[in-house]
Amino acid sequence: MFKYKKFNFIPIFVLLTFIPIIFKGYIVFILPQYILFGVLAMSLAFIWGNAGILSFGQASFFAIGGYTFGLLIKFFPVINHFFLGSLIVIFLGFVVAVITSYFLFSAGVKATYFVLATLALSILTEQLAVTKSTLTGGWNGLFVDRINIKVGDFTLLDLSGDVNFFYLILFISLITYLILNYLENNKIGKVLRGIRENENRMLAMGYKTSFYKTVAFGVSGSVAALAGALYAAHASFISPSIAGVLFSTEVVVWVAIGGRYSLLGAFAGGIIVSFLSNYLSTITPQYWQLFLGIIFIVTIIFFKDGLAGIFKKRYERNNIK
Amino acid sequence: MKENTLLEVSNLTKNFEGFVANEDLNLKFKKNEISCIIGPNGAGKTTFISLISGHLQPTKGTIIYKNKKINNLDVVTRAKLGIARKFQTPSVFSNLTVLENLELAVLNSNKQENLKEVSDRILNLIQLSQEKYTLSQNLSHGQRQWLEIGLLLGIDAELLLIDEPTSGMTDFETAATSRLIKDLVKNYNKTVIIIEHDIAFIKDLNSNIIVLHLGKLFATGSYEEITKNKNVKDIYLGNEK
Amino acid sequence: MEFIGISIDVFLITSTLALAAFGLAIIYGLIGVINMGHGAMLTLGAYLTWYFMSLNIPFFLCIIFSGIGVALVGIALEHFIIRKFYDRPFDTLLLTWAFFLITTEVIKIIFGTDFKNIEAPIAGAFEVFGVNIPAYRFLVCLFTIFLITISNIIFLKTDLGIKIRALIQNKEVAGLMGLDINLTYKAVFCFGSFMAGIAGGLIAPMLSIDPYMGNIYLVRSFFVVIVGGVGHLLSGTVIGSFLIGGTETLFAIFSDQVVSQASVFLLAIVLLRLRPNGIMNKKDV
Repeated sequence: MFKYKKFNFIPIFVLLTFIPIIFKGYIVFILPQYILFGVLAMSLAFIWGNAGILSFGQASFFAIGGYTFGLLIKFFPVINHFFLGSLIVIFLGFVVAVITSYFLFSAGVKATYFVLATLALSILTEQLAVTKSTLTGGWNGLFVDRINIKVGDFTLLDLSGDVNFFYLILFISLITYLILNYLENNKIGKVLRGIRENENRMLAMGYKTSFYKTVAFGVSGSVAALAGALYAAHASFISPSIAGVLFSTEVVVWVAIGGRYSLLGAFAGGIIVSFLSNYLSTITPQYWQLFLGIIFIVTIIFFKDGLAGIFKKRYERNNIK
Repeated sequence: MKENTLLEVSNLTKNFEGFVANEDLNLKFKKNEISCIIGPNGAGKTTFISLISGHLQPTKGTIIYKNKKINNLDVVTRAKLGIARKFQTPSVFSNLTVLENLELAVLNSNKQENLKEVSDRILNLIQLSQEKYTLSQNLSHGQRQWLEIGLLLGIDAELLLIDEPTSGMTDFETAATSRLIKDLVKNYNKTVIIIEHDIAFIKDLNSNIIVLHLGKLFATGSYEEITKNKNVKDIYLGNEK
Repeated sequence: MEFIGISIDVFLITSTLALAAFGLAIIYGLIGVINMGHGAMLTLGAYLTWYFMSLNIPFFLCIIFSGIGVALVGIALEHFIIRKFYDRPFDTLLLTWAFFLITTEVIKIIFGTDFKNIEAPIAGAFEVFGVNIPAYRFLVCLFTIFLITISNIIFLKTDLGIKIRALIQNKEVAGLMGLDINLTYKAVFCFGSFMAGIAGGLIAPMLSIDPYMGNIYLVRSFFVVIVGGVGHLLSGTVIGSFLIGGTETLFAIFSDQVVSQASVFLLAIVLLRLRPNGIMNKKDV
């Protein structure tokens, strides 16, 4: 069982690797955006599944990443955006997350109140994006030029084509998964799960729980911001709706359905549910949302571990000797 | 302050909006000793423990641990200094195995490098070696109490505050607990303060006994002295003076 | 004169916010459920009022029918879903959020997504110290004051009030005292929903009605309740409304609506940090 756990990311990433080889055209263009939603979902699963910290604010980090990256490209075309820009975005996401959460966690604010604070963060970010319209384009959104990965004047990777960008995003997603998975299986993951199980016990054992929660939220924020930056770069466009409450709650729905205790479950949930949403919304927007809402309720009540949990139980049942 | 006094409280008072839970307690606890705190319900025993562990702040008085005043330190800091507490209702990690529980404790000590060794040694002491991979929620009530004591050992605490360790335990488990505590004090450099009701257990520990009544220090002494004290019998039977 | 104008503005906004938050405060304060569907209940109240108005029913009856309508929805929600999750606040949070999602879509399906309008039953305004006060808004404020006063009396002076306060203090003991816990929870949820429906209907003539109108009040209402503090249900709601509503009004004068809202949230977060148990409660337990 342990071996399975170590390598079960391979099927999904291999599957995704083959997509541009088998298919051509629109799907190669649009799938990376869903993959980035999957990464956004992982950022939530990391804190929700492990520490039990629910956040209705992941979209705000996504937007912070997207807008920052887009603005860097727009106003500082000279710098090397992929490396420096990514670093800035990761750092910014981390800092904003840490400042917000430390402020609250260190005061011992209840976890349920924290959820509301993240909700407010989403609203704030959305409004910031709307009001600073000279910078951000307001409701019209921000257009982002396509750029290539350069080192000095040398083009390392030409991203004007869809295929290259697809593999770049897939690669970064894989790295992100491996990093988050590593953290989950090591001290910080264990401590977070301890905090989730019995925070008072952790405190009584000398753990500064607010520190760990803050760091975890910071990691989550930086992952979400990076996903947002890549999204803006890929879609060449970003608008305030990507910052708001509705999108933030969509992320929660993806992770609830995919499986909050599983990074891969959340990743798959993010890709699949957002893809279905976008596809079915064009056909029957209200009934799809209604259906999704019902699935969400059913998941919360009966399938707390999400789809990943269902797969895990099936696997375990089939493998009992 | 004497070299071998680990903990000293002076004029320790805790007031809850008019209700005085602990009043003017003056007590000294020497290193590597066992002290039992007894008294009728509502005497302020758990309040006292909470004041030492940092879960409650004193209204008046000082708490000195290892020659340092710790009044203003929080629970986390005191735990890092070596003060650890077993709660009245066992507080462990229900959905984790016994080993995972201990791991979490050892991870926060200075002994993380020998995680496996340290965990095995503790498992042995608390008699849960056979239950390494059992989920703690599937342990018996008594075993869960041992596990919690195991957590205190895992973080390498020096002062163990143990609140009713034998509640719900069988006679067999109670005797084992007594041996464990004596072993910890004798061979592992621990100092233990226990709240208990079980007379046989208290007798077996052969410790210093502190009697609290209505928040005040009522009497101290050995088991023989206390059991011969008529006043102590009276407060339990309700014939107060 | 400026000051009076501002004060009146603050008064109007505070009372409107208190009205909107009242249903939420009841449910969260008495039974600890974070009703993320509160905004949807407000919205539903508004739409039901619009619907009944279109049947030419007198406005105040419409309000009552809306309240009843939302109360029925609330009872259904409580009975079929929330009932089993009282000891799990995160789950009730998510479930009531799902309720919001579903209700909003149902509203869109039944009523469509275009904006609707209700005319205020009392048109016109009157002048006080040179400031124009819309008559209808003023009436709603009076109603809110009336509501809070009556609730205060019920809460503090009647038998029912004592039982409910016992429930907040100690569920087990209240049960031993002969209080039917399940029924009480249902009644509280029902009443909170009823109030949300009424509030939604009363507020409807002040804004244009769209499927998301109630959500403007959702987060604000939560901050009112959290800042005000649980356990001091009524005074907390009033003070919380004042702080949140007042700050927003003040900031709106000096900058735009959006910055003022942002400032309010920041204020709420700061207050939350300083007084995690609400402004009425001291810091430690």
